[in-house]
Amino acid sequence: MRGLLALLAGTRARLGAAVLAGAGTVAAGVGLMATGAYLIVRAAEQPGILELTVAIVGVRFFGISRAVLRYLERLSGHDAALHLVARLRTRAFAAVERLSPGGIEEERAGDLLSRLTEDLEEIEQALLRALLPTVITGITVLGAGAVAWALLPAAGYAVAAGLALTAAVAGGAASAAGRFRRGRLAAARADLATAVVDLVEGAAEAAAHGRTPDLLAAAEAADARLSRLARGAAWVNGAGSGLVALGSGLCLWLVARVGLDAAAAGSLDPVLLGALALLALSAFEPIAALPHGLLRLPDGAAAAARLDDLERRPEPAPDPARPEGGALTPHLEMHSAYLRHRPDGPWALAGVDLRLQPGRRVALVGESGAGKSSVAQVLLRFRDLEAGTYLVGGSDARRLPGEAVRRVVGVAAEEAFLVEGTLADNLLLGRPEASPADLRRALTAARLDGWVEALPLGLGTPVGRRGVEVSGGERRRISLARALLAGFPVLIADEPTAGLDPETAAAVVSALLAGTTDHGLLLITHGAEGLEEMDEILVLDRGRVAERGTHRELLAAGGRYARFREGHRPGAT
Amino acid sequence: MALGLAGAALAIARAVLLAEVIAGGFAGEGTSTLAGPLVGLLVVAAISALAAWATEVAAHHSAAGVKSALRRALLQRVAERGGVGERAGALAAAAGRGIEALDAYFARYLPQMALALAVPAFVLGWMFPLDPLAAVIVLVTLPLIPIFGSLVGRATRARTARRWQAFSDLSAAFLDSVRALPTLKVFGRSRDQIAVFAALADRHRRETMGTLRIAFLSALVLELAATISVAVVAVAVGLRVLDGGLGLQAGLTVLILAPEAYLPPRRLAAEFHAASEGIEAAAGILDALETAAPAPPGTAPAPARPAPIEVHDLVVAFPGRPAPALDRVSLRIADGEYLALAGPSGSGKSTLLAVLLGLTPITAGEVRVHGVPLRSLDPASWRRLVAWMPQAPRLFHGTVADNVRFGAPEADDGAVARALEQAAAGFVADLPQGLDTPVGEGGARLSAGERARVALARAFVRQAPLLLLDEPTAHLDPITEMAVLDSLDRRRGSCTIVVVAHREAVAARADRVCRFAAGRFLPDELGKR
Repeated sequence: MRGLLALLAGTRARLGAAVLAGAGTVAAGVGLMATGAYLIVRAAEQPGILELTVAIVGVRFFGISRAVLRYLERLSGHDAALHLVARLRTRAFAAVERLSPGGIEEERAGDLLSRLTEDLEEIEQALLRALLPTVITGITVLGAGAVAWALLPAAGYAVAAGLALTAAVAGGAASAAGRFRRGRLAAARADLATAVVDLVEGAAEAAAHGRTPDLLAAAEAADARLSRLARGAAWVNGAGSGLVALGSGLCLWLVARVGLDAAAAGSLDPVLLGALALLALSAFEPIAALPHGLLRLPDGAAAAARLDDLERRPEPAPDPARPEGGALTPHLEMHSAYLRHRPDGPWALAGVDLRLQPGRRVALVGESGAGKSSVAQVLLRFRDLEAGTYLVGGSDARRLPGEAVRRVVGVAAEEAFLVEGTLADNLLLGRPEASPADLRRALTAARLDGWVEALPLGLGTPVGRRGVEVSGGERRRISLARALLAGFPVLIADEPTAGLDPETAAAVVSALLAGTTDHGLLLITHGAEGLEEMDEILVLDRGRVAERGTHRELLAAGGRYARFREGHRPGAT
Repeated sequence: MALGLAGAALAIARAVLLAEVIAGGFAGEGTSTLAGPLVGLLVVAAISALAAWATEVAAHHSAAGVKSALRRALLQRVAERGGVGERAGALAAAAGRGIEALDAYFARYLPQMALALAVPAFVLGWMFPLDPLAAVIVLVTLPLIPIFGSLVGRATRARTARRWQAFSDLSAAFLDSVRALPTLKVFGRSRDQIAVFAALADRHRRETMGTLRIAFLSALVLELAATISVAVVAVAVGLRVLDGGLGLQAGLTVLILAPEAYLPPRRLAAEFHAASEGIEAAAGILDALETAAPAPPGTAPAPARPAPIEVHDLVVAFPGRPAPALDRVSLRIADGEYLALAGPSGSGKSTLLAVLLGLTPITAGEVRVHGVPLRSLDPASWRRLVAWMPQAPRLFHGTVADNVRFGAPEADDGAVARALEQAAAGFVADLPQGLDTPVGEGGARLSAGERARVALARAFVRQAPLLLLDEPTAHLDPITEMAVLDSLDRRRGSCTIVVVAHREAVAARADRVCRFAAGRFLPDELGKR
């Protein structure tokens, strides 16, 4: 809740306008009914028509201004909410930028993002349907109470207390219902969703294994549990609405009673009795929607807390406060490196030693999950080691800014991400000032020149989400050309051949080897292409280096590598 | 409708009682003479509270009941159809989000509909004898609410659709920008992206405000119609009371009742959008429920051995697809044979496996087991002979062991461990709780390769004499792939194995390779050993 309020700090002026317009709407509605009643009762005294002119003008004024103010309330409320959401969206993006990619577990990234989108919506709804109406209700309590007090002090107390108590009780019921909804009801809903997804997406497997009745029974049990809880929730929700109706009715009765007594005692002009009663009746309008709106508050508060948590999460590889200056020599050394992805997880790296420098080519092979990508993340300083050292040009990487490390070592990633824009925009990402000649050289080195020439728009071809279809092989070669153009002294090629057919894979690897003769190269691969050309091959197994040596040495040793190569020999049985 | 009647009666009673109190007080009567109407107001307050509570409870109860009944019917359908065919996705969507969208319709729109019809009718009926002029004013302006409401609704729906488009574009841009971050960070360009994104978010905000300004303008017309006519009624009543044509109490009753007539239709208009979503969802659900039930299954018990299997001129066509998935395919699978099916994706390999399982209905041609048509066999008894691993295996809510045991509920821990070992699933030992590690929804806590091996163990643990494996090593590295293929080799002879293979390493181990293209066998490869 406090987190939610803290988020509003930058939107105060817009929120103030929304609150003013909202309070004005209520005031105009109350004014319309109260002046209307005054007009009718005063008319019963049969005064001259001129005596009624002010009341008539008042009634018309309140009637029109209510509609206009309601329009302004909606407009300014949504303006404030949209402004807030735009700001929060940017803040969330900045938080993710800080953490990405080492601080966000890859498999959860999609999850995190869809939740962020939903969270922003929750915050918007909590603001519009819970926070603003609550503040407007507060102003109504004071305003309606003050006007009633001016007419008759006892009625003022009755109106203020009636409104405040009703709002508090309705709020309490709503928060109980909200807790219920977030707690047991949300859990039951999630259980049901899991059971339905299991049944639907696993229907074929369940049928094949004869287990359909079990899954159906599980889904029906979850449905029964949810229905039972939903019925329970309806009682609590209904209590909120009922209490508002009761509160407004009691308040009306009380005001009528004290008004009658005061009129009889002479302390209230009987003409004002109608105005007073209708003031009490219509001041409850903003409270009617409160129980439903307040249900949104706990969700909004939880969303704000998650956003806050994201912003506070520690950076995976924080830049040093006082970085070491000077140009870095591209000598990378990793000594007995240890790393885990979760504090209680298994070691992703367990004592890896690795050396890279221009002119030296190293390959990493091993099953998925053996730690190959973790090596890349550490080399790029997306993550810091838990134990062991990583030296760049002889300096501990922790004492260097991540950006400085990444000027020395870069990556051509498995799935090249193409940003919105043209092919040229994507290639120039790494070196915006590159000359057309540099660009041509990089394209030739990545064996991409022929493909680009065949495109009608050439380098001006749009790529990315709305751009042309780019095949897997082309995508990897674009990634390679981009990395070559950026001119990293040491280049990591992460799975450059995954999912490619053998001919394309061979072409991509030969392009890679030809383009990096005077660079350092770390080839992370599942395939067999290019391994003969490596100065050293590391076979990783669960974070440990199981074997290391040249292609010949490893074949002669007859270990895992030799067996792996046999599987790749064409025609092997 | 009873709720609508109660709502109308309560509104009228309150107006009459309150008018009596005010008029009485004006005439100098005290609380003692007005005790009747005062007590009446208390009673009305109590009944209103009960009615509000009961409305909510009844609405949500009936909504919960309807939702539950529909959901069960849908799930039953899903179970009957075995999740195969074009409708599976639609059924899933209907059972999930579709059912939730009904809440707005049943719990809010329908009760409001009852009030919106009953309250204005009764209020007008009460007002007319008191003051025909005021009743006519309300009667004339009241239809403006639904008319403008539906106009506003139509205009806003188009704009809301556009707004949603813009919103989903922005969400997509957000996702894209985040996915681009690692790449941009490598090139030292990620921080620039924050400003780019801030500008994008701000542009979206301004565009949304533009559409909202117009949408709210239409709502303003609606609001004006309602409040100005109340003001007109108040002034008209005041003037008639002034010239003595209308009594004070009647005049006050009319004033208090006037806004009551407009309130329910306005609330209904507010619920219109949510309700239209619910109506669309309901149509989708009814549509999904109307899909034809599959043909009745066979009843003959399956033979002891699952092969030889003869496939004659098999055709499988899916509705809505131009070309059949399988087009006159003939094939004989011998007992104990190790057969690989190769060919580009979409060429019909997986469909053939689904036909052999009896999951996909045959359009033409026949499949015979030991000379008996497959469709005459009792599916349950046939499937006891078969172990199947689909291309994208589904892991269920539960632990690794639960998921392996899904293939054979009676398997003991030793059998589960052996099956995992045969599936080269050594990674299970490294999981925090080993075999008892929960796999997360859909197996989200495991990688694709790990999920594939759990599913493979699920197939192995069944000890079935016919193994149907769809790309069992697609997500495995060559070393693990080899271990899996070695396990398959050990079953050679005792099992009939049909494996869909993309990779040469898999096809190379089989006795025979059948190559597919576009639903047919390539003739030059037919029968090649």
